Amino acid sequence: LRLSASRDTGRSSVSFGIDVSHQADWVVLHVSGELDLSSAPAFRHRVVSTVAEGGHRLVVDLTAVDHLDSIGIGLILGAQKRVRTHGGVVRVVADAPRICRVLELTDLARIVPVYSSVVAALADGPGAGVSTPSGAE
Amino acid sequence: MAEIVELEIPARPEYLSVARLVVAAAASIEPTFRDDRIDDLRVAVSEATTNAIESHADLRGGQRILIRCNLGDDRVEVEVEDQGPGFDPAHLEPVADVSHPGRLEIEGGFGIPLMRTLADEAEIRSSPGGTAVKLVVFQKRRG
Repeated sequence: LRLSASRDTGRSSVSFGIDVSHQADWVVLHVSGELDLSSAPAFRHRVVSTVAEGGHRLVVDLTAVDHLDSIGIGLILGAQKRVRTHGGVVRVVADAPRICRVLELTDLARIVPVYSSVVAALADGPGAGVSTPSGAE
Repeated sequence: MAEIVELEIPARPEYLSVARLVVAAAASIEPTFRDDRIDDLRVAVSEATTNAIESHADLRGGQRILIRCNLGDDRVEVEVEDQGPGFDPAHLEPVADVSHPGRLEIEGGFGIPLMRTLADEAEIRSSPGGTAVKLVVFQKRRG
């Protein structure tokens, strides 16, 4: 079997989206679809605009994400770097085994707290994941 | 008996999901392949194809990426071939440990290590005319 995708007709079949909600002093980015090289510009743009609007405490909700790879890990690190310059913090929410596996194998959880629900992320103490703006733990 | 599925895509990010979809669907044809192994394969192929697409980023024209899926009795072998400028896989720049404060300065560097972890075998052959990555995922994880 040999398949050939056309430049003119090929479209991503999985839609990507980010819904934003504000809960207490947190901005929650509810990401859906596939977080990869194709969706990276949209995610990065959303983080930049959120931080520019003063949102420095971010929850990245990955519970509706179907695919996460190293590009997504890099994007989360980039968000962490961006908010840290304002004394902020990023927390990640994931519950699907395939998503959690990528988070574990890349050791992301060692520097970005990971929770199984948005409620748990928001309920955790204010110090979790917070560091100095210089990045020193 | 091995069966081959080949997919050729333009070297553009929009086609990344097509590569994952086809490889995962091909592996699913073998009913004894567990879902977690298909997930490993899907992410490993995504990493290889992402690198292939990015290798074409500075090139002009309609370069294409060939993805060849060889379905064996106990394994799936996937080859991802690009026409990019190539690199020396033996001299990849070392990436700091994720807990190192300076690691935040670099968003990249996770792809090849993750690909090598998820696949049971991963081989990279590269030359100035292109790069070929061969991934093997067995029904049961090895090593």
